[in-house]
This record gives sequence, structure tokens and C-alpha cells, in this order.
Amino acid sequence: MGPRLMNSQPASLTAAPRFSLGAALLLWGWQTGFLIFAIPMIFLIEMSSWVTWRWPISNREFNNVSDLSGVGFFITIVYIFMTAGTKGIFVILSVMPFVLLPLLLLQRYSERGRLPVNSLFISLRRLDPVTSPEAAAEVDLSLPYLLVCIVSASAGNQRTVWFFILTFALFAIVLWSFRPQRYRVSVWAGLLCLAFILSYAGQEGIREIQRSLEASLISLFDQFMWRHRDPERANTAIGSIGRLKLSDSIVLRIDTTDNFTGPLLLREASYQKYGYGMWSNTDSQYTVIDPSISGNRWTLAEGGQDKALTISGIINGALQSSIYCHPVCTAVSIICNRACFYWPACRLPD
Amino acid sequence: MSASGRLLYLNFRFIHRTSQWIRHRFTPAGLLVAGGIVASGIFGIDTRASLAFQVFAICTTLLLLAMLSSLIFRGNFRLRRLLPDYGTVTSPLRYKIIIANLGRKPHRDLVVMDELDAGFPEYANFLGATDPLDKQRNWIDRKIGYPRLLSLIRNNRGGILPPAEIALIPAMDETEIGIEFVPLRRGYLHFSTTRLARPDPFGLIRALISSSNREKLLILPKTYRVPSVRLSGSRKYQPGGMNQASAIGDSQEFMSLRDYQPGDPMRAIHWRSYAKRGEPVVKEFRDEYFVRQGLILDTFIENGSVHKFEEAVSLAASFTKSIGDQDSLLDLMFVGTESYRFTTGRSFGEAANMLEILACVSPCSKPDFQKLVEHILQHITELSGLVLVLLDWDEKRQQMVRHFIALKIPVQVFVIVDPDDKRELVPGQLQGLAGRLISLPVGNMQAALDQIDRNGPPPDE
Repeated sequence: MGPRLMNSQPASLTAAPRFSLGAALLLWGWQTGFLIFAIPMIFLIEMSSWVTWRWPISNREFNNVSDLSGVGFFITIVYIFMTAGTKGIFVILSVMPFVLLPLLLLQRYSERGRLPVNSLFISLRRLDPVTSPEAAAEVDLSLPYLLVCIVSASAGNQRTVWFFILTFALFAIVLWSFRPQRYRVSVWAGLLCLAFILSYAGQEGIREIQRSLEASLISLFDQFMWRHRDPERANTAIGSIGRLKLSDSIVLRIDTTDNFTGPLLLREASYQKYGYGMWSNTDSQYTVIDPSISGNRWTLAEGGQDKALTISGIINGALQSSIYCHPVCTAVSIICNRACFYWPACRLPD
Repeated sequence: MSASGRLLYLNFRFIHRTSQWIRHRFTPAGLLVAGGIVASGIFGIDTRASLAFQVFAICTTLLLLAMLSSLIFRGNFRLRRLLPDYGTVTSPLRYKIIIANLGRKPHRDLVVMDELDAGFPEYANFLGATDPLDKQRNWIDRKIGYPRLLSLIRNNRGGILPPAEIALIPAMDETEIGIEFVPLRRGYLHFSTTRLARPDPFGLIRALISSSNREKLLILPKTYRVPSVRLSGSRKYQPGGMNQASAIGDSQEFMSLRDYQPGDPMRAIHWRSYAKRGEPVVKEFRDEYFVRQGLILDTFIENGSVHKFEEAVSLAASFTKSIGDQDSLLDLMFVGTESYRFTTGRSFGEAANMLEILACVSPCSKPDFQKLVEHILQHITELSGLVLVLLDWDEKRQQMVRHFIALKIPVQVFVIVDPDDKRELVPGQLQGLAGRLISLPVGNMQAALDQIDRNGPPPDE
């Protein structure tokens, strides 16, 4: 048989299989609580397979939408970090499908059907496509978007085994779509079953590794990171092994002129809201109290000396104290319930 | 440079080699899964905060299984490359690879990956490298230099060869694939290894069979449509011209007969007169006079403008190519490590030979205008005029041009300028010779040359 001539084809990502993006968005919506947004998003994305009309979108328009998505992403990051702190990273992760949606829709409804890579990277826009072929490359965003949906879904709170099963099923659908024809289906399916078993065992192993690591490092954390509670927010410790009090040292001493009649339990912090593994307070109002001239005394409230309450503690090796006066019970109640005892800057709720 | 600079260079080399390995081994889908591992690894570090660790476990398992199944690739293949004689810079070039399956088993879903040898730049080359694209990069990229290094490697490589997919090669059969790429630089491109890749069952990782298949291909400089340069110089006597121009022009023009003198060539004997007289008589021919122009290529890059030099080479190549249509000679002269002079036109070498020379000409970072002038002056009596392709219009170059004008040699000067250089060229001694000093901006050469054509040739002085 004589030689047959074939053309070279640049290897690039293929499009995501039909309905796989919808399935990924459903998973994401179910996990993160954005199901109400996910449904119209699915509609918009999957409709592109049924609707035949397309827009002639120029490179410039691709660039503009890409820039707009970038700016939107940046604003989202800033806003979420300002409101949720470092733990906001999971909030950012969970909203990623929103950020990338305009680009995906633009691609799917454009005549070109693919996204110019240089619209994603400003540095590539300046290059000459003739001498720098990477500047002229195009990419199909659907598979990366699908992966983004899966990773974003992992930020959600539905911690059941179904997340693992559905995620694996999505991977299986995608892998099936570009399965090399040289292998029999039985070989492929067998390998996929093996992958399921191993990855399930793997994720259990990862969980176990973290538990073991935490157990061994708990004392280090106890010494350095859990010394003070943040009254604004705290990471969840659900499922973690608690700390045992192994030291007899006194961390806080309360002296009263009269007999103490308040509750004897001291609560370090209280929070109102939980989300993405983080507890936080939303409407706390605090006042900063300056120390006295000596630098180690804070007057929490003015009052008579006959019924004074003095709270003392060891901070950084030095004895620090704050004085609070009448009414004693109210003062203790405030201390216990609103996490005001926050060293070294002692703050009281307004 | 400091130890930190060398450490950075070593890091770059490691990163580059790793990325090359990844590029060969991973399919686009494999790269996506690898990206999934990185993303889910970052977000899944705390198993209580998110479920990303489960995505991490799935991606890692898939990729590990794919790697394991790509360890074995049995097959007996022969790969042969069919290259054309030449290519041209920035013009798509197509060549073929013949893949013969010598085994008794058909193979599906294979990918052929051919490779151009780039070699990793030496540390000194990396330090001394300049890249015009640096102007468009941000401060960090310019300072760290990795994009510059990549640019250097890409330029050394000379092109990016796309992989080609083969759906099926039957047993004991062969298939031919066509690969098209755009050569990015002139000179020799060195083809090295051809790889045949087979994807794993998941289509994530490739198993490879490599075949070392070293070949080289000459890439000629790009050429432009150039206007005909009409200099007012007269035809000049060419010593030994009859032998040199035996096929075209005045070489066979008979002048008279005279007695034979020892040393006269046998072919000059006039046999009929010899028969009449009984003594040898020879024919005399008119001396050779024809137009011979000098094309002077400025190779002296002082400010590192490689792009300007490349455009100058292209312009010189364009004039060389156009000489084929004219009944004249063209001497290409330039100075590199030595002085060079090559002639084309009439019965001399073909223009293609000159293009080959121009394909390999290198810039000279140590300008020696004195040497260039002396080299030109050695042959100035044979030249009707000079076409100078210059990289700048500074005092040294102006002085050189003044020198030729003083010798009454007609000159035509082309100066390659940066596109953002808005300075007007000061004609100096060329004052009054309208159209003899022309600036051609990089990146807009053809338009500028067409403009000259539209305006018509400059008037003769």
C-alpha cells in the first residue's frame, strides 16, 4: 500500500462533551448553594448547542471581555478578602464559575468557537503572531471551565460521599470523550475502576494523614498559634481532637474586693456566623482602651475603689492587669459573652 | 555576574528542561489534569476547609495510572524526513515525514513530534543577550530575564514544529504526514529527534519512541519587491571580463586580427587567416565594459538592534534577487571577521548562491569602517555605483559615504531605522541628491519601498 498524506494538526484541548458543563455546574450549585444561579448558567451554556446563530466577535472584543472579567475578578478578590479575611480564599474559589462565565459564553456564541490565547494574556497581545506563533494560538475554554467548576464545587459544605462519586463520574465522562481508539473498552473501563478504588483510598489516606499530622503538631500549634483568640473570626475545629489541659499554670486571675458572685467559666470567644470553615462576628463594635502610664494596666470602666475587680494575666512573661469597677456581675457577663478580653489590646464592646 | 545570577540561570535551565519533558510527555488533557492537581492541592491542603483534596486524589490517581501505562510502548517503526532545498523566513514551509510500521500489528492514534535543536544558551550568552521584545515586557520580566532566555532559545531553534496526528498505520505499511511551520530566522535550522508518541488509555500521558534523525535546512532571508536602482555611473572596464562574462554582453565583439603571440589562447586563432598566411593569426576582441554595482551591507550593530540588521539583510537579498533581471553585475561586500566580496549577475553565480551567503551572514559587534572602506576601494575602479544598506546614519557612516562621493562614485543609500525613530535623516554630503538617501522603517519596509516605486526613480545628477 502506498503512503497516504496526512496534515499536521496542532494538539490542543478538545471541547467538553455535551451536557458535561451543565452537570459540572449542577454539582457546583448543589455544593456551594448557588443552584439558583447555576440553572440559568446551564441554560445559557447548553443553549449554544441548539442555537445556530453566532456573533462575529473580533479580537478586540475578546480582549475587552477578558479584561472585564479580569477586573471583575480583582474586585471580587479585594471585596472578599476585606470582608472574610484570608479564609475568604474559599469564597473566591466558590465564585470562580461566575467570573469565567462571560468568557465561556463569548467563546460558545462566537463564530470562531474558540478563544484567542492572547486575549487572556496581555503580554501576548504585543507579540507578532508571525514570529511568535503562541500569540496566534486559540484555546477551547470549555474543559478548563469544567475543571474550575469541579474545584470550585469542592469549596462547598455538602461533605458527603456523593461529591466524590459525582466528581469521579464527571472525570469519567470527559475521559471517555477523548479515549484513544487503540484500546478496547474493557481495558479502559477496568483501568477506570482501578482509578476509582485507588482515588477513593487516596482521599481517605489524605484525610488520615492530616489527622496524624495534627495530632503530632498539636502542641506546637497550642504554643504558638492558639495562644490568643481572635474575637472577629476563627477557623473551625469540628472533628479535631481537643486540647487537654496539661499545665497547672494560672493564665488569668480575678481579684475582687467583695466575694465574687458571677459565673466561674471564662469563655475565650463567641461567634455568630459560620461559612467555608470559618466562624465570624458580623456586627461587633469595639472600643480600644489605652493602657495606663505604667503600660501594664487598663481601666475598663471608671468607678469607686470599694468594689473593684482586677483581672490579671501573664502576657509575654510580664504581669498585666486591667481593673473594672461596679457593677461586678455585669462586667463579668460582658467579659464572658462578647470575647472582649483580647490581649494585649484590651477592648470592650460599646 | 554574582552567584545569585548563576543560581538563577541554573534554575532557568532546570525549569526549561522540565517544561520540555512535560511538553513531550503530557497531552493537552494531561496538562489540564496536572493543573487540576496543582489547584486542588493548594485548596485541599486543609481537608476540613474544603473537599478539594478529593479532587486532588482523583487527578493524581488518573495521572499516576496514565504514567504507569505509558511505560511500555512496543513497536518497530522507521521515520524518515523529506525536507525541501530551502525555506524562507516567515513564509510557511511544508515538509514530509514518512513513518513506516515494520511490525505485524497496526497502530492507531499515534502522534509524530519532530524537533528542532535549540541547545540551551551558555551562561555568557544569556548574560549578553538582548531582545527587542524586552521593551514590551514589564520590569520584573526584564530584570529576571526568563522571557529573554526563552526568546533566545526560540530564536536559536528557529521555528515551532506542530505535532501531527496519525489515525492508523496498518501493519507492514507506511504513512506520510505533512508538517507545516513558519521559520522564524534565516540560516541553518537543525532538525534533531523525531518522536513517535502513543497516548495511554486515558489520553493523558504519551509513551515515546525516539529516532535521532539529524538534518539541516537552510532558511533564506525574506525578500521585498524593490525598485530598480538607476545610478548615473557609466559602464566600467572589467579586467578579464571576457572570460568572466563569456555568455552575455560584449564578450564576443570582434575588433581586429593580429599576429599570434606566445600565450594567446588557441580559441582566439583565426583558422581561415592561418590557412591563407601559413602563420597563426589571432582575433582581437573589444575590452569588457558593463555595469557593475556594489551592494554594501552594513553589518556593524553597535546598539544591539538585531531587527534592523535582519531587515538590512532582507533588503540586500531583495536587490540580489532583482539583479537576475538585469544585464549587469552585482558585488555584495561586507565586513565580518574578514572582508567578503561575492559577485552575481551575467554568467556569474546564480542569485540563489548569493541568497545562501546572505542566509548565513552574521552581525559584527566591533565596527571597523576603515576596513570596510579599504575593502570597497580595492574594487572601486570596476564599480559603476554603490548601493549602501546602512543600519544607522551617524557620523562614521556619513564620512564613509562622503568618501565615495568625493571619488565621483554614484551612491544610493538606504538607512534602516527603528519604527519609532521619527528623526529626519540629515543628508550631509548627499544634499541636493534627492531620493538618494532613503530611510526604511523596520516592520514597514515594503510600504516604504513601494512608495519609492510610486514616486519614480530619483533624478540623475
